[in-house]
Amino acid sequence: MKDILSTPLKLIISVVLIFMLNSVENGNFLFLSIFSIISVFVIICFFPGWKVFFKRFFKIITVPVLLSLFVPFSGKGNTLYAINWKIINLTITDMGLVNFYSIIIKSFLSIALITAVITSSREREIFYSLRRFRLPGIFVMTMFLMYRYIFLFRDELNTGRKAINARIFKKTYFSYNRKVSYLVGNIFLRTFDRAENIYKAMAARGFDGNFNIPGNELVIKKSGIFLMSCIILFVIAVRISDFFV
Amino acid sequence: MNFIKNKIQNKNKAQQYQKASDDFTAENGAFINSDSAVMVKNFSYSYRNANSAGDLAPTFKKVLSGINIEIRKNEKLTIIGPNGAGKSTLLLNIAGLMDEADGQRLDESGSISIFGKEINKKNIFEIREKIGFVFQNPDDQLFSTSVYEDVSFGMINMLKRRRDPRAEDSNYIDSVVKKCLDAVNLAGKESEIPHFLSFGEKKMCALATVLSYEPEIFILDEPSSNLDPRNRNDFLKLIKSLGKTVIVSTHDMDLAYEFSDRSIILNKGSMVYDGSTKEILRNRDFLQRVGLDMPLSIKNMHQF
Repeated sequence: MKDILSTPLKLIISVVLIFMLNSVENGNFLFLSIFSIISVFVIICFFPGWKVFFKRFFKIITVPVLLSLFVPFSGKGNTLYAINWKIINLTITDMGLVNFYSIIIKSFLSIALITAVITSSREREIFYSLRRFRLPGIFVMTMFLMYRYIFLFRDELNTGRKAINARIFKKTYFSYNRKVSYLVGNIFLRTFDRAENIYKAMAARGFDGNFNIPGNELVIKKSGIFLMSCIILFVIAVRISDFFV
Repeated sequence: MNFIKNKIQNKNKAQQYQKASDDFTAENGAFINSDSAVMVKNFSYSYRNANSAGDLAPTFKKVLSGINIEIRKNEKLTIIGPNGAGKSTLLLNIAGLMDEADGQRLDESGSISIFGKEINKKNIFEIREKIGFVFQNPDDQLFSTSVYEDVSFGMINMLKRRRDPRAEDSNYIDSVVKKCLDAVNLAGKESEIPHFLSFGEKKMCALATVLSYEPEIFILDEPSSNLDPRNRNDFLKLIKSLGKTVIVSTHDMDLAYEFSDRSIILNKGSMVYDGSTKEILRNRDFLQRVGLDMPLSIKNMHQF
């Protein structure tokens, strides 16, 4: 199975599944659960490194969870619970709660699928596949540099913070935070320089906008195409049946 | 029987590779069989001022003026100069790595040729195959998630551009990567993440990334910076042993003294000396005038 599903296939399956999943109406939990089962099956088929998968997944999932925290309070419908204080007046409605659960399930599965693709493929294969799908070179290159250098941000920030701490002898939050905000601006400039240098280093070694990968090109095997077709057809069938229920 | 079969297969493979290489040369035109590897003629360059970015009439700062250098095949050359003398700018221009966003040529009559071919937008990829550029900071050079991927990067790009079937041959790529890592004493580090190597190892790995595609000219920007004495000596030994044209830019006078017979000294963007390294590095007055100093080894000899 590991050999059947090459990176382009994984990307196609994930994108189709995410698209279909997100087009399910909020509150249609029957179809959301069917899609959940398909997604879990697909993720297992991808064979991601489980430790890295969960580590990255839980880091990213916090963002949509935090963003959707206010959704239960925003929907119209029957009031389930109300907080009436003098200044704050919050009501949780049934529709708000339905929307909240739907958004959480959709973001949970979408992130899990993308994380599975990333953790089960080499980065150069992913960018190579994106170029094969005719995505603009500049777009793929920007993604590559962001992906590669997001980790260096942390190192640069830590070094900068140490440099600030070494010269702050009386810590006040105002002065410290002001210096750290300067540091963030400085790091943006530094990473810009770094990205320029990296691009030059790649160009010096024959990089022309295409990510070439070692050995055989990612051959899409017949069995892989069959498996992909089955999954996609099943997903489409589920989606079509949604209209008739 | 298998032995004979393998031998025939290998012979066929070799013929196939040679044919691909010949086809490529026929399509793209061979380099002129010239004795000079690099020829810089009346070259001047200026950087765009950062303050004038986005202006309709940007201002420029001159960093190189009237540079003339000829570097012969297999010659070892050191470019010496204080900080801001224009060493890195010259090297990046020789490697064809400066674009319009960085700055501009001041004199259109100036040119840089590699093996008799003048660098232009059309032949830039062809010329880059001939040049292996090692950056001052290895973190700029190493960008992949494994040493193997970084070392194979240039080689695969080159082979794919030439439509060489070896690009599809994993065994061939593995063997070249292994050979390059052996040469820089990093055997067995193929699967390590370059970011977590020590600085000396990163420097060595950066050199391996260009060794893999066997360029004719090696350009090394400040190769000894931030290296401890042992790593510095290993690195020096390795680059001295390369039987190719090697250009090194440095302000480490001891490195210059040990590395090459010929040196060029740059100061404030102009070439102020081109000649024997041993001779010029003994001239204390001249060196001090251009913001440099004698190598420690010579200084110590004078003291005793």
